[in-house]
Amino acid sequence: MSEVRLQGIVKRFGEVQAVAGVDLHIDSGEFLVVLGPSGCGKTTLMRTIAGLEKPEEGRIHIGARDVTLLPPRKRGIAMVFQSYALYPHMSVAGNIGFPLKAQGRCPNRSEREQRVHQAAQMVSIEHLLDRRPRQLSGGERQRVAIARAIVSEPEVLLLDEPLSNLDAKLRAYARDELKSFQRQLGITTVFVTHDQIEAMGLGDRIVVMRDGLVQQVGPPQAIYDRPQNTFVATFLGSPGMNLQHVSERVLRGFRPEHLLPVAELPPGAEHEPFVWRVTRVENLGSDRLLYGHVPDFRGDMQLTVARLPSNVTTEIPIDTDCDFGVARQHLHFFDNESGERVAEAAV
Amino acid sequence: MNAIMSRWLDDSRLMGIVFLAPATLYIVLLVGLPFITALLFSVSTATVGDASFNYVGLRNFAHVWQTPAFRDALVNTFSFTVVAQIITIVLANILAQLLTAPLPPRRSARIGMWIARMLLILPWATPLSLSVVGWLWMFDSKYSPIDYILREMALLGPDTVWGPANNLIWLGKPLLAKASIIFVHVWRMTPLATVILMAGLSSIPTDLLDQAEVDGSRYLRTLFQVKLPLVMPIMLISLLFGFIFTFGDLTVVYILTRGGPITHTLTLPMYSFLVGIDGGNLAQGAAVSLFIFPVLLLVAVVLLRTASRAEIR
Repeated sequence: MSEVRLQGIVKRFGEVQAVAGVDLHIDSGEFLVVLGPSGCGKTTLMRTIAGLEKPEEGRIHIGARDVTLLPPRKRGIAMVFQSYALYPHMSVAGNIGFPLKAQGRCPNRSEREQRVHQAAQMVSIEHLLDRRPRQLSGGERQRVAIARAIVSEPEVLLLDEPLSNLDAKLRAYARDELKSFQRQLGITTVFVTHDQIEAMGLGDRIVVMRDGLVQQVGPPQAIYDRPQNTFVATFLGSPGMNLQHVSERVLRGFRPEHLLPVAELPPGAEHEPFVWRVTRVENLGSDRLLYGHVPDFRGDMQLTVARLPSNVTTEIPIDTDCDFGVARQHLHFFDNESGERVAEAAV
Repeated sequence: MNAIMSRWLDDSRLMGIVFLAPATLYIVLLVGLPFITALLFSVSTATVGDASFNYVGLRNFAHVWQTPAFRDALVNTFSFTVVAQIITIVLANILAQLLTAPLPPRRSARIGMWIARMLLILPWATPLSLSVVGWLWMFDSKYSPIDYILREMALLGPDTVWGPANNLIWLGKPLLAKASIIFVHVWRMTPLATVILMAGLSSIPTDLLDQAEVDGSRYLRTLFQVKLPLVMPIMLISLLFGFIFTFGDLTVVYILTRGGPITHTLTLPMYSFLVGIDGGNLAQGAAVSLFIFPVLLLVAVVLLRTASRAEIR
């Protein structure tokens, strides 16, 4: 269990800056999720921590050690790849035992077997030890990969989209299991994903990345409630935040679930009235999504989405002006040019 | 007319026969018929001058088996093939590792690698008879460039380690002649084996190699415990090719030594040629060449079965 400190990490591939100067402090035992769209540099950042990529600039510390120039095997890390990267010619036991043999940390055969057993037990796959990877299901492969990662008791566990190859049902289950597993071990964990639900559900803190740069760092709810810029505001949440031009300089944002019929707004709260025409309703069972267009300050139409929970049963007439509103505390303001968050007072 | 044409073209059975016919004809005429002819000759008394069929049972085989030259040829064929294959596979592995190594991101490096890969394939692309004639000159008893270089390096000639003679006479001494034959086989087979191994190596997912690195594996462990087991099936295929080419090869021995000195480099195909064509005894020549067949069949079956068992997915 060690903290990880990244200082000014820059990684280039030819002309492209995959990571463009990242400072990050990961606490000991923390579950940190790096979230961003594909190509944002999150995987490169993780590979840099692992030592698979050498950064052009910056330093990496794990615990008290500067590991910037060390090869992966000397960093005390373990990594699970998106593909799980199980050695197809080895049994499950062979796969899990490989790091122990390779690192020469466990020369005694019976001790090694015991540790392989323990690791397998932790992810409940003892009964699969003699199988080959090709005989396993996706969920079982993922467990083997995790057992192999923890068998050498790394200081830092790196996970690169380990759930993306599982089907949706299994994924929710695996998420829960992974989280409780990490708590139990208390191992410092970096988890890379493009899936905001995974990020919100798993992370003690989330790092949102874009174009090789960190956009915002913080606990999931804090990021959701106070996005630092328009990118974070629209990337998190499904659907993302509605943004409207209220003047040349200012964008106003509010989340779909905060746009409610006036009758449903919390009583007593000050609210911003919002009259719009709904053009389409999507019923998702637990929610209703309302789509409509609203003119901005110039009169250009902008797509707006509202999300009504199923307990709001108000009839929504199509193509008719409806009285909606957003509680004032749920309004966000952003600078139109930089996209950065601004105080309402600045409007 | 058109209707009939299109009915024929849509008939998958008919089209199947039409498309398979050329290949089938090719195999029957150029492989099947000669093979059956050889079978018939081997149990007869046929000679170049008299191809009439007199059945004599397995007498030719028994006779050939008792000939000392045949024994030499049998041992040589096996030893040349096995030694050449071992050297080839080791060299091909080293070369394939080098030629698939990650490159520095420079244009010159890419061009250099391209040239290296092209040069590598040249021995395979040259017609065998031509390149072996080239080697015949290289091994020439008097004008061998190898000897010349050794002399210039003061390793050959009067008062040197390999002296006092001015020439090694590569193809005239039993051990050197054997080594020369094996060398040319290795030189000939290495490019193909390397290319096959390169294809195998580059088909290993990079995730697996990254994983090995993260797991703490160093170069040699990754090579022997991850890379080589993964390319094993394809390596066996390349071995199979090499084995069959070398075992049944006539060109190299025919051009370089014709089996000499005495019978020190005699191989089964060469002996078969000497007995059957040069000596005119078609029956015994056929019997000699038929000894090659079961060996190759066995090797092919064994290797293909091992390869399919070692299959990754």
